Amino acid sequence: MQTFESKALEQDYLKIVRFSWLLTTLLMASGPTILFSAIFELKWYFSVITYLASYLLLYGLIHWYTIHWFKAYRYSLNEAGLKIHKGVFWQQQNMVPRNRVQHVDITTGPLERRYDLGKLVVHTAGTRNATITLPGLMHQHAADLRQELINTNSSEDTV
Amino acid sequence: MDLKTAGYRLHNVSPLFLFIEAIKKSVLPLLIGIVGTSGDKQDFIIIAIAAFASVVTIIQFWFYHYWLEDDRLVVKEGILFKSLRQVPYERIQNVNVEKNVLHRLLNVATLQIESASGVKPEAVIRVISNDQVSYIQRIIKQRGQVPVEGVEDESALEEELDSDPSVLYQMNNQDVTTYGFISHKALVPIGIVGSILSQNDFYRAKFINFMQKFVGDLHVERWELAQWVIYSLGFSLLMLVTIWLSSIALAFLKLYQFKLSHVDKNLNAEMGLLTKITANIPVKRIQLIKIKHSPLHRYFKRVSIKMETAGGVTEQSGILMNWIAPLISRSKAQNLVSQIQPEVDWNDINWQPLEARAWKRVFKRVMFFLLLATTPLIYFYHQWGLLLLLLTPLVYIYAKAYVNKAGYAINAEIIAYRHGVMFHTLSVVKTAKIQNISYMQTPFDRRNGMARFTVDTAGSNPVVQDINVHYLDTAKVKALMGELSERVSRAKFVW
Repeated sequence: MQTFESKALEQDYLKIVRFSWLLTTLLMASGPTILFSAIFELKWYFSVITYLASYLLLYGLIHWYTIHWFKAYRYSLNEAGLKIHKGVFWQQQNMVPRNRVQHVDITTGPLERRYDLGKLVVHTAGTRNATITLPGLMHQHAADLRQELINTNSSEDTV
Repeated sequence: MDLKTAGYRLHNVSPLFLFIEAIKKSVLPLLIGIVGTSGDKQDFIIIAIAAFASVVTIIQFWFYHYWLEDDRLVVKEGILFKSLRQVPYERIQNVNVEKNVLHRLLNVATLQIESASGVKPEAVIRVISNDQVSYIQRIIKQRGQVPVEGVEDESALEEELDSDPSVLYQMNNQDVTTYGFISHKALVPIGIVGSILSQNDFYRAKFINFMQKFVGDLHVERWELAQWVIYSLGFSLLMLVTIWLSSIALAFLKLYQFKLSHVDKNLNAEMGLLTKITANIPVKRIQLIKIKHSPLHRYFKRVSIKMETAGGVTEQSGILMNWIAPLISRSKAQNLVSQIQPEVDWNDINWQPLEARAWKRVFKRVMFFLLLATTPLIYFYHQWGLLLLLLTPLVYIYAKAYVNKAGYAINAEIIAYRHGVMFHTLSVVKTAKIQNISYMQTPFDRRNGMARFTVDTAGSNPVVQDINVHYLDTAKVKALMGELSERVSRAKFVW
């Protein structure tokens, strides 16, 4: 039975997350811009400046947040099962016992494929936390982990 | 796919029931929506369309077939989008039968079969003859228990059914009446009717005219204070009595002659006055047991016991049966639960308290909402708004009581959690039924060195987490989590 102590996600995954935030922030920054432009009836070049400023400010905050978010995102595997810890302000830890795993998926997005990453999705028969995801693994590592979780699932489903 | 047995079709009167069901699902909500808002004539076109669509649903009758194979039930349905569903007997969780007056008149029933597949029932067979229902029930029961090798003959089938059903619990009329009184089930429907009446000018005028026939013209504009008080007291009393009476009537409709019995390894429940429901739940498939009581329950020294099964069917998606005992005396409750789960040692439950300092957090939280409510009051009524703060001692008492009444217990077989000051809930989950364990810490928790942990079960309510132990020391939660995950990983999960 394979076990390992708490591991961090792949550094490349942080890049992907930041890249998608870079794009999302493009949209988010238009909010304050429209608001300020409407309130103060700004000239177009001031609007552009507001847009750039709010973009930088928002992205700066998010960039800072992702550092801590990435640092907090850790997972480990012991005899009992898979444990995932995440969250900066609201921290949570999910624990899936090995013998409760129903099935395991690996999904990859276009960006993740570029870095050869994969996202592990573990399904249990629960309701609220029935699916537990673990992103940012090397694709091969995710496949190994899936194999490990399935292999050591000793419970044959006898009803 | 090869099907060995001959397929069955629905009963000949099925289209009638399919039609009624479609009407219930599409036309009635629309009708209520329209009456509730405008009542314009053109809206009835929408209803006409919905009614027409309901007629079309009858067609599914000709496209619904099912087979009883050696090891599974096969259901084929659909006109354009066909579906073929195979449910192994051993995976079937609950079998519910519904019979209303019309069903009984025509000697048929609706059969609902659930497996552990989320929120929708696996198959709703609407409708088949009574003989066929009992035949299917027998097949499921017999073949679901042991993996069959070859088909056993009918005589063996009969033998197994002969085992004596032992009645665990039943309700007499007095119990049902008390339950109706306690539950106040009619409160919401009456509220809805009330709000519709107040929204729709036409119906309101009609209602007022109707009432004036009884009480005469009231001349509200000339009322003195005393009259206001008398009339509003009278009105409140009238409303209360109406709610009680209709709640009791609802309780009778639903729970009349409720009977729970133990047959082999199944729980068998029967209930209902006009619509009779018969439910069959394998005991080992109970995921969670909940014992609840409200202030009125306590007045009558009674509790309600509910269960959750992995079927996860809700009232909207099918026939719901989650009662163990709608109303039972406190002393008998524990006895009943231990009869249902004899493998759990109910005397070995050692209740652990929450952290004593947690009351401060409950106090602060409730005070926050109180202050939030005070702000607009101060804005509108100036210093009078501050009167709300007189509730502070009550909040203090509540916070203390909250911590006193809450507690958790973990032993080799179960995890239990109880909480609630006015409405108290005690939930019990067997370790083997736990699916995963989570731990949560909010910024407020961190400041107080606390955390919470929750466990997830199959078929549980996704909104309300029943086992959600809050306000514990972080170190304690971490230790508990380790211990629990150790135990869960050793306990085998059987649906």
